[in-house]
Amino acid sequence: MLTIQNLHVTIAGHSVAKVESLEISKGQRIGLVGESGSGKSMIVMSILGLQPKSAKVTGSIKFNGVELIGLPEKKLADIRGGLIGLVPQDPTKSLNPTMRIGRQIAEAVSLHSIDGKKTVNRRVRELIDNVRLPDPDRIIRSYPHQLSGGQQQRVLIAMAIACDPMLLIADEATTALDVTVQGEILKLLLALSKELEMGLIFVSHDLGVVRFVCQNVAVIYGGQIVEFGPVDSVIDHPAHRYSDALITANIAFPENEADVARDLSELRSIKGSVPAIGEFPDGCRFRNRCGFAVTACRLFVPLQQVDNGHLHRCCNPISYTGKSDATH
Amino acid sequence: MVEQVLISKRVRSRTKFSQLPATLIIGGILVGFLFCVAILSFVWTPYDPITLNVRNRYLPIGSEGYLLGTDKFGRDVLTQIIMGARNSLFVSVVSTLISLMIGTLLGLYVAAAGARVKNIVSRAVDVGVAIPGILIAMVLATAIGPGNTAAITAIIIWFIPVSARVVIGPAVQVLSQDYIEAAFGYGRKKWFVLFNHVLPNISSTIIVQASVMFAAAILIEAALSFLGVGAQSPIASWGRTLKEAQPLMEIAPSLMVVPGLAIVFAVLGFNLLGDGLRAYLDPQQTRKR
Amino acid sequence: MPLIDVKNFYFSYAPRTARDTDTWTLRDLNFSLEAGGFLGIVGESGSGKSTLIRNLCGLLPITEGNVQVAGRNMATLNPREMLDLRRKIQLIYQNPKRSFDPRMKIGTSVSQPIRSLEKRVPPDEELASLLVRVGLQADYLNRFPHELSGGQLQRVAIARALSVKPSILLADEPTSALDVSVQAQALKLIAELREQLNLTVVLVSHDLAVVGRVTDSIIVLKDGVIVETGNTANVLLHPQHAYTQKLAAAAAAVSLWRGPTERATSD
Repeated sequence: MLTIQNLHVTIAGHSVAKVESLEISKGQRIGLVGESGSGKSMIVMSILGLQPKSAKVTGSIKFNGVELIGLPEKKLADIRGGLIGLVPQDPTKSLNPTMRIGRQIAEAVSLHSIDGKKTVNRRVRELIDNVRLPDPDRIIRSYPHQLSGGQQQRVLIAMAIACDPMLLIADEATTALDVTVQGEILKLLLALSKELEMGLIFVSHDLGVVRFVCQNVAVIYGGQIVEFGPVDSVIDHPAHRYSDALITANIAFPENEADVARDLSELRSIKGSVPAIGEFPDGCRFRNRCGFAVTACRLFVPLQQVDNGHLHRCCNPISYTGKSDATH
Repeated sequence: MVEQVLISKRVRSRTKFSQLPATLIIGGILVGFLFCVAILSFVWTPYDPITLNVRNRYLPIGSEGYLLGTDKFGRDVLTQIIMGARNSLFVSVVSTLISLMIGTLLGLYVAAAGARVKNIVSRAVDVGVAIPGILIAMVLATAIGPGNTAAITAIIIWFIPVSARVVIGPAVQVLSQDYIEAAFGYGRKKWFVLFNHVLPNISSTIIVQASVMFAAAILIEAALSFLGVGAQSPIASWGRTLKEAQPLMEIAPSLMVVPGLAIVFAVLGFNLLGDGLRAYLDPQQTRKR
Repeated sequence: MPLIDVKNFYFSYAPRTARDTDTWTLRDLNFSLEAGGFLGIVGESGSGKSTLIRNLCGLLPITEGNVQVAGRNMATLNPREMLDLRRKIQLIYQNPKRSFDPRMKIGTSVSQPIRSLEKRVPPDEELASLLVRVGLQADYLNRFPHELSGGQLQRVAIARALSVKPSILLADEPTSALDVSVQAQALKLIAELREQLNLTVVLVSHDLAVVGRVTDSIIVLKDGVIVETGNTANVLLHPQHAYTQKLAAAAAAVSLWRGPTERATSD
C-alpha cells in the first residue's frame, strides 16, 4: 500500500532523514521509535508533504502506486485526510478552541465529500460512536476545553478517520496523555486498525507503547532506520547496539520484589547526547556514543538481515549464540 | 514539533552572519545621520541661524552659498533645518527616555501584581492610551504656555501608558517561566527578580518600542510646532518652519518641501530602525530559548 | 520527629471560595517523612502533586492545616524564618531548559542561591566543584543554557539546588522532560547524592516506573486526595485501592518486560 524507496530529506545540505526502503501493507501497524532529534517526525511528515519548506525531499514514496513526492499541493491535500489520516500529538494545540466539536468533526467529514447536511451529521455521530465516546449530543455541542485530554484525543482520531483513510499516521498521539488514558487510546487505535483494516504508522519515543499497538517496529537514529523487525523480536533480541541501549536505558515498571530491589547502578544511560543536524559522524551515526564501535563502523553500513524480517545495520551487533563480541 | 524547532534554530544560527535586515541598515544610516547633524550643530552651522539677511530672501535651492535656498527673512534654509533637527531630537529623546523609564517601571509593577491590581491598572492604562496626545499637548500649552516644555510634558504623559502596556505582556510571559519561580525559591525578592531577570529578558521589546516612540515623538513635536504650541521663535523647529512656509507656497514652494521632507526622513528612519531591530533581535530571542 | 509532617492539610488557590463551596485543590492530606527518607508522590494531571510540592517549599502559601517542615510550622513563619527555611529545602523543576535565565551564564545561575541565601559571592573554585560533583566539567561555568542539553541542564539544576547544602530536596517530575536515554542518569545522580549528602528527597512523577525504581515510600494522589500510601514495593506490586490498581495496570501494560541482563551497554 505504501512503499518508501530511497527517501532522502535534507535541510541546508545536511541529511535529516534517509530511508532506503520501508513498506506498509493494508492493515499493517508499524511503529517508528526514536528520541527527539531522531528524524522520525520528519520521515512521517514527508509522506504527507508537510515537511518544513526549507527541507528538500528526494526519492520515492508511492501510495497505492501514486508517487507522493513532487505531487502538486492540491492533489496532496486530497490525499491528506482522504486516504491518509494524521492524528497529531497535542489535542490542546490541534483543536480550534472557538469552534464546537460537532462542527470541527463535520468539517473533517465534508472536506473530502459533497454530502448533504443530514448525511454529514449522521456520519459525525457514527464517528463519535466509533471512537467510543458516550453521549454524542453533549460532545457535539461542547467546546474543546470542556472535554478531558483523553476525550479530545478521541475527537482528533475521529477527525482523522472521518473519510475512511487507508492509512493512519499517529505522531506521538499519546505522549501528552496520562498513563491510564493512554492505555485506552492505544486500545482504541488497535481496535480501529483491525475493524477498518486501516494501516497504522505509530510514531513514538516509547518502545513499550509501540509494542502494545504495533506488529513491526523501526528504530530510528540520526534519521536512519537502524533496526527493523517484528516488535517482540526487536525488543527481546535487539541486534543494533543503539536499540539495545535504548531498551536498557528504559526504566521499566517493576514486575516483582526483585525488580524493586535491583541496584541502582544497573540503571543505564547512553553517554553523550543526540548530535545536532550536521554534527553526526560519518559511517555509523551512533558510533561516537557506542561502547562497542569497531573500525568498520566508520564506513557506511547497509541494512542486513538477521532473521526473517528482522534487519539491522550494526557492524558489531549483539549475537545470541553466546557472549557479545569484543568491545573496542 | 520539537524537531522542527531544533532544526530551524540551528539553521538560523548558521545564516546569522549572512545579512543584517535591510531596514536595520537603512534606518541606522538615517538615524545616525540625523544625530550627527544635530550634534554638529552645537559646534558649527553653515550660517548663523538668527541673523536676518532680508536682501537675500527667497533664494531658490542650489543658489550659490545657500544649498537649500533662503527663507523670507533671508536666513539659510539648511541652517534652519539643522537647528530644527537638534530641537526635534532633543524633544523626542528627552520625552521618550523619561516616559520609557516611568512606563517600564509601571509595567513591571503591574505584571507582577495580583489579579485585582492588574485589572484596575490595566484598564487605566488602556484608557490612557486612548486619549490623543495632541489634545493633552494643547491643554498643557494653554495652561503653562507654549514651548518645548509643554511638548515634552505632553508627550511624556501620553507615552507612559503606551510603554507600560508594551512591557506588561512580555513581562507576564517571562514571569511565568520556571527560572523566575526558582529565584523566589532561593529567596529573591520581587523587585530584584523584576530588575535582574525580567527586564533583561524583555529588553529587546523595549528597544524596539523605543525606536517607534522616537519616531512618534518627532512627529508630535512637529505637529505641535505647526499648530503653534511647540517651540517658539527664535528656536528653530521643523513644524514651525513648515507653518511659516505655508502662505509662501506660490512664491517659494521649496520652503515647504524641505522641512516636510526632513520630517518624513526622520520619522521613516526611526521606524525602519525599529523594524530592523525587531527583525534582528527576535530570531535571536527564539534561539536563546 | 519526622522531618516533614503534614496533618489535615487543605489547599486552594482561592481559599475563601473553597471554604464556601468545599472545592479544594488538596484535601485533608496526612502524611509524614522521616529524615533520610525517599518519598515518591504519584498522580496524574490534576491530582495536585505539583501544587503539593510547592506548598512544601513555601512557594505556595499554607493557610489550612498543620504542615511542619524541619520542625517549623509553615503557616506561621515570618519572612526571616522563611528565608532560613529556604536554605534547608530546595526544588528542582521539570523542564531544565526553562529553569535557567537564558541571559545568565551557568556559573552565574549556579551561584544565585548562595548569593541570595548566604549573602556572599562564591568563588569560582566552589562553583566548579559543584559542577564536578554532578558529573560536569568545570568549564561549563562559562557556557549559556542554550548550549547545554536537557540532561546536562538538569544536572546543573541539581548542582544549583544543592549549593546551599539543603537537608531536603524536592524534585518535580525531574525526568519527564528528558530523553529516555538520559533519564536514568538524572535519577541515579539524585539517588547517589542523597546517600552521599544524607538528603531527604521527595520526588513527584506521573511515571510509576521512575518512582518505583528509586523511592522507599509512596503516596498516590487522585484529585487532591491521598488514596493510598505505604512502602513503594508493596503499593506498586500489591495495590489495594482501585485507582492505584488501575494506574499500576496501565503502567505495566506498556512497560518493557525484560529480565536482569548480563549484557553491558555504554554508560
